Amino acid sequence: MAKLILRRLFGTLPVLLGVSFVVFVALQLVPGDVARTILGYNATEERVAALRAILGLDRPILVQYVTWLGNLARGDLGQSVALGVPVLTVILDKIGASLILMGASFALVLVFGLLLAALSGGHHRSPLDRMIVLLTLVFASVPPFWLGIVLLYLFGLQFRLFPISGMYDMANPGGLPDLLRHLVLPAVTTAVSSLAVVARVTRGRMIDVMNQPYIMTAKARGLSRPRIVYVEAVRNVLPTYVGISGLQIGYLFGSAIFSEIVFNWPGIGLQLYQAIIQRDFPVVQGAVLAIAAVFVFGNLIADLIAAALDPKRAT
Amino acid sequence: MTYDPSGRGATRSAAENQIKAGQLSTSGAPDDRLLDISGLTVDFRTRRGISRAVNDVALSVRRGEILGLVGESGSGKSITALSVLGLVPAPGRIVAGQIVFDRRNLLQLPEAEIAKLRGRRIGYISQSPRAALNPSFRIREQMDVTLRACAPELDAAGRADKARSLLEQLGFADPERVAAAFPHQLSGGMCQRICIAMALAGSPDLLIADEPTTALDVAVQAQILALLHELNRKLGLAILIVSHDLALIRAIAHRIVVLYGGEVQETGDVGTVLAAPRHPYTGALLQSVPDPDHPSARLAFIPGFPEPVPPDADGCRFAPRCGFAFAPCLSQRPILRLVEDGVRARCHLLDPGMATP
Repeated sequence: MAKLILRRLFGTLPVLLGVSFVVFVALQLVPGDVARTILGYNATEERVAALRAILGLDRPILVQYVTWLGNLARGDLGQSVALGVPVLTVILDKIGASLILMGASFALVLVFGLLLAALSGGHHRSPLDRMIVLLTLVFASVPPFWLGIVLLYLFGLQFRLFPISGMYDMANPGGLPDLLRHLVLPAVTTAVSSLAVVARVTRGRMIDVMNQPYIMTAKARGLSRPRIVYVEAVRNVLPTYVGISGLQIGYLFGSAIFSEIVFNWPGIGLQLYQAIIQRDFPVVQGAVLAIAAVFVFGNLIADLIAAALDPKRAT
Repeated sequence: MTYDPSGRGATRSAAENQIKAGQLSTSGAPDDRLLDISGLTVDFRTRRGISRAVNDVALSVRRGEILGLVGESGSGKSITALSVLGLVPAPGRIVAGQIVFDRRNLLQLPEAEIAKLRGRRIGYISQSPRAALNPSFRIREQMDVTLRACAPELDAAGRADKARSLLEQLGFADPERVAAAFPHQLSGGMCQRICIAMALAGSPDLLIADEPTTALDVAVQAQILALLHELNRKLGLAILIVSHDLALIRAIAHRIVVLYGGEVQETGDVGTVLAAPRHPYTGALLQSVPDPDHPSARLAFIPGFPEPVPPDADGCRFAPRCGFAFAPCLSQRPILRLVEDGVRARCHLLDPGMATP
């Protein structure tokens, strides 16, 4: 187990390096110029060129990347061009809100993903199973930016059940209950498609497990139907379920960016969106790296849990 | 046509001698039927039509008796056995018949009542002992859950005691170590003994053993057979043993039922039937058992292979592969007729009214 952890930990390094490099290069393709954005369109070419030299933008891309990497190794992610503060400060400031949103969405994915999978896969071809299959098909196909607007309109504006924007009430912030009320719609928006994917993949494995000989013999031994489905079978889908759930962390971040924009959630996704609009490349670079790190480590943890859940690999 | 079955049998030397040391009460058992199946018919509805896996099967297991159910793959023997437990796999469905267990027709009982019989009155062991154990739970947990279902009167300590004594009864010298293991850490033979221990957890009257030794090596086969025989003798446990292995059935069973194409072809006292098979299929099966005295001899086999049977098929199921088939075999379905004391066979050759070729 310790060997596995070490090996996987080393495996994450090239992934993060690769992500940072791809993003660095991709940003060069984005039209527009940071120096021009900062100085405005009335600035002279000479002044723009001077600022480019100060920011190091006139040097070759590879040199810029290696410089950035060297600074990263010292914990320096650079300065935000638009905000004038260190990128690290911006990220640390925003990632908390994002992790709260992610945590809530991930909890929804975990709880309802397994619940729907057990209810449908454990009763293959029952009316309930067919209903869940249809429901998850719809869920998996719903884009979060569309769902967010629909939920916002229905439950925020029409029924006025939930606030439509932000993390706390502006006028009188009310601690945890207030946070939870603000959290419902963005968390549901973020979770829905990942939840459906987890439910469907886990259901497939559940059907497979329900056809295993040990389920048949469990019936022959007189075990009750609920015990067989919800304990004997569900225990054996857990490795698959944990694995697919870990993979969803990345998709959740993608969805979270949209729901942060729709619901004005002050997280790293909203910050990333604003940074892209403003051509604030150091922030974009830092935010993407932070997201990639959460994704990679989330997956690592999921893989280790999945391994621990399999008696053949754990012992 | 008579066949000489003496001296034949793959596991005879190891298993049979060991077991036959006990006694075989082959006849004279009181007509006390624990399980009585009649007219059992099971259809599998597939996209290509209906296939009849079991057709009008009748058999009975008396208290304290071992009945051997023999046939090749697809003969309907496992489906017949699973019917008793109400566990015929989809898309199979019991379309006709009666399964009377202890004077109650199981096919008329609600599912909840049948579920109560499983484990408590009827035990089951399968042909793949390791796959029959849940890979994610320790043996201790699996036995505990089984005992909780089969012996609800026991408390946690009582279940632990009972599990230990069951494992000891099944020949485990160190029950604690076995109980702490996961199935993948145990051998196939150990897994099968654990499965038997669990099948005995509810002190059943009947044990259904579906090819219990197929996945095991020969030495372990003999051990498991000896164990089943001992359970039969000591506890009076009735056993319905399903196998394709005639030598095994000869070694352990009191009576035999030979299935082909989902129909009973021959049935009777195991010694009488195998000493002089009346049905050509039984005879052909016996000839395809390897002979340990002549290991280099070419093994006889039955040409062709069993074909799926439509529900309305005429004639004898075995006719297309039978060396003795004549005209009526293809058009008329033979009846299961009483040939001599206790032996019945389904063959036109045994009909004195038919012109024999």
